[in-house]
Amino acid sequence: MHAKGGGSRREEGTAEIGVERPQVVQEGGCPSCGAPVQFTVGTARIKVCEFCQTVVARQGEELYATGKLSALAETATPFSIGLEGRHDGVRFRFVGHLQKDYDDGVWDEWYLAFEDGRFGWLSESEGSLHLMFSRGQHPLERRHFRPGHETRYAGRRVVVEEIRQAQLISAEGELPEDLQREMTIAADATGPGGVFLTFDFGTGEDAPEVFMGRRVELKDLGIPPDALRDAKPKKVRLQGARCTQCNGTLDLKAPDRLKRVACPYCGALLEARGERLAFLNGLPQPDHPLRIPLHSKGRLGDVTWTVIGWMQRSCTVDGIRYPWDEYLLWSPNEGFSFLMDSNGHWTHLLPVPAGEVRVHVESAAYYQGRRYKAFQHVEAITENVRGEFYWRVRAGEKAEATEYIAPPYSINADANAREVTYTHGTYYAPEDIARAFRLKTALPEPTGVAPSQPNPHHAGMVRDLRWIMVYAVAAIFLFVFISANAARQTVYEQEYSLRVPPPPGQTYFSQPFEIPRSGNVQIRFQIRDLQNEWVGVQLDLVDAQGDVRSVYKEMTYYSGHSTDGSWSEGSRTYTTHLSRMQPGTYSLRLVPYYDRLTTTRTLRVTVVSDVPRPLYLVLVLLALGAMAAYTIMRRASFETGRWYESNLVDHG
Amino acid sequence: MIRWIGGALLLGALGLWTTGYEPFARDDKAKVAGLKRGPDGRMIWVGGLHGGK
Repeated sequence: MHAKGGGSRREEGTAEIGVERPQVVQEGGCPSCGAPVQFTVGTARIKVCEFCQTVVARQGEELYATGKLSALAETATPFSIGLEGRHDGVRFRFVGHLQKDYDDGVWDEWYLAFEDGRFGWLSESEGSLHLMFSRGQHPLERRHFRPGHETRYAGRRVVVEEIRQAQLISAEGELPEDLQREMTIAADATGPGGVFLTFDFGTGEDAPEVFMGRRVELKDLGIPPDALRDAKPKKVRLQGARCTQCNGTLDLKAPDRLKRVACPYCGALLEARGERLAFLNGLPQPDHPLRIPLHSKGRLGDVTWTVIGWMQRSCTVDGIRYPWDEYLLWSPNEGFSFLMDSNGHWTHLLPVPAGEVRVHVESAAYYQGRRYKAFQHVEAITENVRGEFYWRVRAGEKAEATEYIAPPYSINADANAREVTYTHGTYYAPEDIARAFRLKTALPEPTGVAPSQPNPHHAGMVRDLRWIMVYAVAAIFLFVFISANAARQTVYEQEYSLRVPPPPGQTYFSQPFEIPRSGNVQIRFQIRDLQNEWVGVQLDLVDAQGDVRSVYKEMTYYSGHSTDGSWSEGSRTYTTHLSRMQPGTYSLRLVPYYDRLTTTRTLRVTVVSDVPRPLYLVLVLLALGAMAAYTIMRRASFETGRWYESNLVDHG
Repeated sequence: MIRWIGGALLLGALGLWTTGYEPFARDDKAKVAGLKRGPDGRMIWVGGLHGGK
């Protein structure tokens, strides 16, 4: 990572912050300018002369110069040499400072001496602070490191987020080893639980020194606020910056973090170089007005965000261009996030450490216990931009974008050769965005189905299925209960001989019988030995008042053998029901009809009162099943529309 | 919606089971004019409905 080696070596017998090793020189004169040079930290091998920037190394009793550095660049760091703080209850002191130039600007790294003998590095990058401690060198090869690469270190799964090249600009204070002035390479990785690692390859290809720690907040460092530097040079100088091409006021909202700005008036792309802006190139006018104007403020979740940038990005699938807009949002406390507008569907994307996301490539991603199914993988191109950006944005910038979804959430990975960025997305309806940003004009209605759009029928399906289940169980319970308490009383049972040939006018009258309670009546006809014959039965029930209820039933039973085997049709038992009959005395008249009975058959007629019919239970369950099928199909239809747009599923 | 439809279905089935009403019954109703009682107490009539073949 930094000046290599010795970062974590404990000094025996240290009781205060920074104790001199007795066997090496502690102070002397700068070999270059003669100014006093004093070593206060046992592990320090070099010290930068604060008067002439000479790098002074010590060896035994000797002090000698190893080179000279340029002056420190002015940055927004709040720290300074000698500053003291406390972390996890342990006091520490800022003893050394490195400044390195990365692709995206100057980073500050601080060498810390802890009261308990540990030495750590505090790095400042993009407004984030990471406190790390050296874990020594490890036998790893750089060629295996690429953004998104998952590996294991110290029993942990870690994901490489960024491969970065850096070159030393300047340094101050005491540092553990001589400085590497050549271009060095390091890989940053994150793991679950906020673990942050840097694999510092220096100028080599293998055996990096590994630094492990985690992200910290300024308040975690226990530094008295009045001891911090109030250094915001860029902010002061760029705050009122104007476009170099059209002289329009840029009104920068996050000048400390600014790398590039695209003038909202003329489209000039400008780069922040120190305290000035340099023109790079002109950009075309946006092909549509920005749905949310730059500098609008809106509250999403518990955070108030300011829109500071706009990008138009697109991908091309099967020759068709699919554009979308992304707004860069900024909050002083939360940093940056993105708001994506795709076909009127809005998704708010918050960066998450890559190590917190477990990815099964083009299958699924897992984050905070939730599974996100792979939806699409495209090459995204940045076509146009406006506003300010914290990276060196440019038109034509390409990234491999992969989206994993668990509506209304998503995990989005943007990767290029240098870094991978993971964001966690939350879907918003246009009206929520319009309300959040207090937009005066309504946002366009969404078209199509968005990858992370919540299925509007899902909640209804769950609710409906719950009710359907309740009703199904209730129907079964009711039927069982009513059936168990039904009379099912056989009020009449008689056998009739059907003679051959049938006597003319064959009619039978029953003795009077009682139907004791109101309810339906079941009439069962049975001819046990009916064989390849039919019999029609006309049955009338009449009460004492002469009210008659009549039914006609035709009984057939045929069977035989064919080349397909034996067959039969019809039945020897038929049942019919009469609707609700009043209690009272009834007589039965039976008229059989038949013509070709082989021999005399016996017809048994049984009349049963109050028989709850399972038919209605079956019908209720069928109706409930149909409703369940409808609600499931409605939800599934939406999902079909969603996944039709996926390029990671086989559409057959 | 399904809450109401399901409830109506359940109430409908409950009504059929408790009243004995048979919506699909194919019996016919009529009034018999010449109802007589035979010597053994049987009721004998020739009116009413005569279906069948």
